[in-house]
Amino acid sequence: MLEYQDYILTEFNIVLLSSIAILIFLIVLLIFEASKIRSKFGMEEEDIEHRLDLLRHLVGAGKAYLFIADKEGAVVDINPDIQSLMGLEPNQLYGKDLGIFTEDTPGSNVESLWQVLRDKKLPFHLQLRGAWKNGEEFMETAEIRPLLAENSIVGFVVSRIGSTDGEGQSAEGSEELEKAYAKEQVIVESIGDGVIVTDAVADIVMMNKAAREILDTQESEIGKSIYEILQLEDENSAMLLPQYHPLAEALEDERRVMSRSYYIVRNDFTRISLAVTASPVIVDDGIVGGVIVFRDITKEKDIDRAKTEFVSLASHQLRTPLTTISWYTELLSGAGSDNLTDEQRNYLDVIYDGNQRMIGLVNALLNVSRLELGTFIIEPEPTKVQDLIMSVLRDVQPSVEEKQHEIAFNSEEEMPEINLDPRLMRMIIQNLLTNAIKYTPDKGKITIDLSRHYPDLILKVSDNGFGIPINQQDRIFTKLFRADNVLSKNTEGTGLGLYIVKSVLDRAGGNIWFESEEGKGTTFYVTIPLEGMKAKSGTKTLS
Amino acid sequence: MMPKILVVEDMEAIRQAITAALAKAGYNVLQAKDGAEGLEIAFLEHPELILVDIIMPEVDGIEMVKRLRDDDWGKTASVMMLTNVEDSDKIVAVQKYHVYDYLVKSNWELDDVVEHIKNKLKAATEENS
Repeated sequence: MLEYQDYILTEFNIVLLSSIAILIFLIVLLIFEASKIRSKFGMEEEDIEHRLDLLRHLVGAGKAYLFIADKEGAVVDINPDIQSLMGLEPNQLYGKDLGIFTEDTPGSNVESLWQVLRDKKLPFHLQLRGAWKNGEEFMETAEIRPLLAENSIVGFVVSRIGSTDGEGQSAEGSEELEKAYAKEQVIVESIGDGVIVTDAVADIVMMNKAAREILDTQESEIGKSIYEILQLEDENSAMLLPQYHPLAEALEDERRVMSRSYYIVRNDFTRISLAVTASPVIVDDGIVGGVIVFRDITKEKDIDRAKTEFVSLASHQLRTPLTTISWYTELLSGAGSDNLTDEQRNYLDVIYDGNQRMIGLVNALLNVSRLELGTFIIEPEPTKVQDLIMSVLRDVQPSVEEKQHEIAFNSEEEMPEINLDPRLMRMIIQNLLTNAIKYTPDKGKITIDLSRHYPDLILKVSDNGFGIPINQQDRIFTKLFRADNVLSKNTEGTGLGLYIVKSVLDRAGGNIWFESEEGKGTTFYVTIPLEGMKAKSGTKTLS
Repeated sequence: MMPKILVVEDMEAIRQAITAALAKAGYNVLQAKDGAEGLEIAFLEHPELILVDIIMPEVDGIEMVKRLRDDDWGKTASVMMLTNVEDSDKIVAVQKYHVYDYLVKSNWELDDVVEHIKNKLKAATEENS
């Protein structure tokens, strides 16, 4: 019995392969006979066009068709070879519903598959059942593909897909395909980072071993939403809403999203830190899915944290001896200093200045550690930025006079109070202004402009100083970086100021950039939303 | 008579410096090397102002302020923190005990500290009179 079936199937294969040739012949014939057909059968021109369209689709699909149905699913054409194999007269099938050949298989409901087909206009596979003319029943895997005209369904094509019975050329081809697919599967499975692949609506289609390990799950969770399986939290243990999920952002904005500040709570209730990269999968300008790659960086973060905490602790400890030096030099040059020679007084000033710089450095290091630990606070309150600028100008007056700079401050009149953290804003202004003073040769010109450019407040600080070399401009906001041209002229400065300013602005919702030409000068721009800085709770203020 | 000021500070060098500056300004300065000693002297002498460091052995600055506020005289005593830690949880902790002056030593010149104390005592005297 089995042999007989095999024989039938082989015959079936040969018949189907030859039907492609028949189809091409049919097309030529149809085009050639189009006008005749019309007069003979009284067909409307539209109908012919429609049939031609169908045939073009079939040839394009590269598959031998079994049936063609209209948009209601009623059979309008049958492959002649199938007709003869099934011993059917065309009239017996025309107009019948395709559903008579289809049946539910485990895990798939034909009715719902049709619904998906109609909604998404994508082909699906199902089991086709029927009987040969000798009464033998057959089961075949077939593909049902919608025929589209201007993106609406005009009909369906049912075609047989490659058999897996190991016979014939097409079977070998599909075996190779399967091997290639299996190889890809193994590669993805073996990647050391967690990899989850989703479809365009973020439902999981694949999850590798590392992903299962990181998430502490045995299941591959296929079909579930990524938002349910990879529930991310932020630094403050607040659950990320689905729309802020990196994959949602990647799919929405069609861009890669990377971050190291996500956390998850595993099934065993341990909280781990993840580095996440989410990317959209784009084919022919359309998003077909997403890939999210992640790895556990809890240990790296712990080390980083320990380092930063050490800096914080060491800096606090350093403050005590620095205070001692500062206060005793002050005492020495104060009471009883009448007995000091000018030279001795000068030495004391040098000690005092050096110590002040060390205090400044310790303060900067503490600020950096607070920024990096995320423990600093932003406390916005209604503030007059002009007043802050005036107050900084008073502070820097001595160094401006010493270098004989000319400073101008222009502000829009009627500038409203803005909701920002005055300490942080003062620090930003102070940094930019002292840099301008420090890195401009004597008798320089420094200009501060304050204006509104909806939706931002713009602070502009420009000088005609040394400028920043073009090849180092991209590193100006990095920690401990100092440009070559100022290193040779001025050894002061910590390389932390602009890093701190940028970090603060990043967290406060502001922005900073600059224009600079070596030897001509630099202009820094700072923007802060007119609606105010973003508040941030924490445990430390910046000094 | 010039007001009495109690300096509670474990680092001797720092304690001596602030004592010298205050004495030069004419104040009557008392010294304590930790919180426990500070409380003892405070309850005995009732100084017009107490300067308190935070990190000290045995009884630290915050604990000292807490115990001070439990005392009938101490609950309204004038206190100023003079420290090198500036965590906002510490600042908030002492505010709970009605201490609103919080000076970071390394960021203040000695002269300015003395000036600040003068102003505070002056304001307190005007309030009382």
